[in-house]
Amino acid sequence: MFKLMKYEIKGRYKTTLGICLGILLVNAYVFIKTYSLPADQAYTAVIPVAFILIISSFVLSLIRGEKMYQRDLYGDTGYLMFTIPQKGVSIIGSKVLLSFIEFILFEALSVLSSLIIISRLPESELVMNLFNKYLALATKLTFSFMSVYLFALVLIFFSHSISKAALNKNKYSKPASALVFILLAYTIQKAYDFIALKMPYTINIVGAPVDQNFGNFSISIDLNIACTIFMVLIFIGIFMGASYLLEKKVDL
Amino acid sequence: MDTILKATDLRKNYLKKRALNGVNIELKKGKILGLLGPNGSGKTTFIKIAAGILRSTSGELLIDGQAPGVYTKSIVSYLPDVNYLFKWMRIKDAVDFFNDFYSDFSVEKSKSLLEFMKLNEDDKITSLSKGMLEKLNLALVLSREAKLYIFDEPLGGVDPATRDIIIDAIIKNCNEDTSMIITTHLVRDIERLFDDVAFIFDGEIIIKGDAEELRTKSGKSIDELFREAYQNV
Repeated sequence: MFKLMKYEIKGRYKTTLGICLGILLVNAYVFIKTYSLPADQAYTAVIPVAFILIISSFVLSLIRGEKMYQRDLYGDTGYLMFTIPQKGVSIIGSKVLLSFIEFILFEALSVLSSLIIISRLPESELVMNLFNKYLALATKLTFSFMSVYLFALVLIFFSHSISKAALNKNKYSKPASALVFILLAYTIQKAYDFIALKMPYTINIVGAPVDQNFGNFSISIDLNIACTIFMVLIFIGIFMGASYLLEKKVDL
Repeated sequence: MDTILKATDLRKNYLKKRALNGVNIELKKGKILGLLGPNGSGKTTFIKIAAGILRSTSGELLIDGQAPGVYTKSIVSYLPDVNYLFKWMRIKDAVDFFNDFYSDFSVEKSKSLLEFMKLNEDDKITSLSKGMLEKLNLALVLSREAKLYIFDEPLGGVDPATRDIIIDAIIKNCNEDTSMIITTHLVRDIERLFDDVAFIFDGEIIIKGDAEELRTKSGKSIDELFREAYQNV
């Protein structure tokens, strides 16, 4: 699996670095433009840009992950990737893991560079204190964001695998995969809501206390037990399903 | 076991089209089989099933006694009829890739084959011509000590000089243990390599047998037999 990742990284590192540079340049531009502005005007520019960067990084890394799989599934490089003696789990796993690493990299860069800008702006203590106050919420959001990314990516891989296995070179194979994705996502969401309603038992995960300077509080996350088990099982199911389809059912 | 590949009543249907219709082929170890037929006859379909990238609709295909899968991929060296290498690669990256994923790959052999093919390890894949790419792909698959080599149209779309180099490379790397399947419709150039031949048309094997016996029996070359066979169908 890691050998596969090595070759994916070799082929992608230039665009990955380009995106990182792009994120830094956007933030540098924002910093130059807002540095001399009054605090209220500066924040109305910096915070939306940070938000846009975070969302864009999410979407971009998801698209890049999908393209990486599509390239082999529908293109000639599949003859190379799918004739090496590797299990479907390794091939899918390497692509998921690499995409996730890229996602973390882009997001971390977006958040950190935005925080650095904010810390240099006038009256930054107010914003930083506000951020610290809602650190628990931010942690929860980060955790959810990562889970949604992983889940969406694996669901995309599964949708492509199943439509390719069913329709092969048919021109409707790609549109069908989008339809499968929407239907599955909708069904899973409905099942999730149903389980949450019927079994509203939660577990509270408490993290280590945050530094004294940050206000002396703990990070706590409420997890619905049944929903969490359901989502973990679904995740494993679609990951293994995509791997099985790739290894045993997909035709090139 | 002295059979490396055995296909029994192998069938493959696409939605409306029947690509393979009950193909029976057996290849003994150490033999070279020419799978001959015009475009669209089912050659590539058969080869892709053997390479493990296409599933048969029914029937059975066994390589070294096993159905196509991870094991058979480790013992089959497959040359497809497309440029399957990543565009970002240089030749040395492709060599590294094969070396990383195939335990039977020999870097030494690849170096000598690349030298024979007059290819430079630092060249980018995107800078190579069709003929050079074909030579590179062949050098990579021949650098493996595989139990079975499968070449899909190795002479397709290359000039006569390159054809000779490709045939020479195949001959040089053949020994009594080498098992090989070569598909082509350019029979004359390559027929001297074949121990066995199978003519395929419309997904069915119409003639098969020992190449020398067929020549002796008919008094014709395999190329002449090939032309005759496809004139009448």
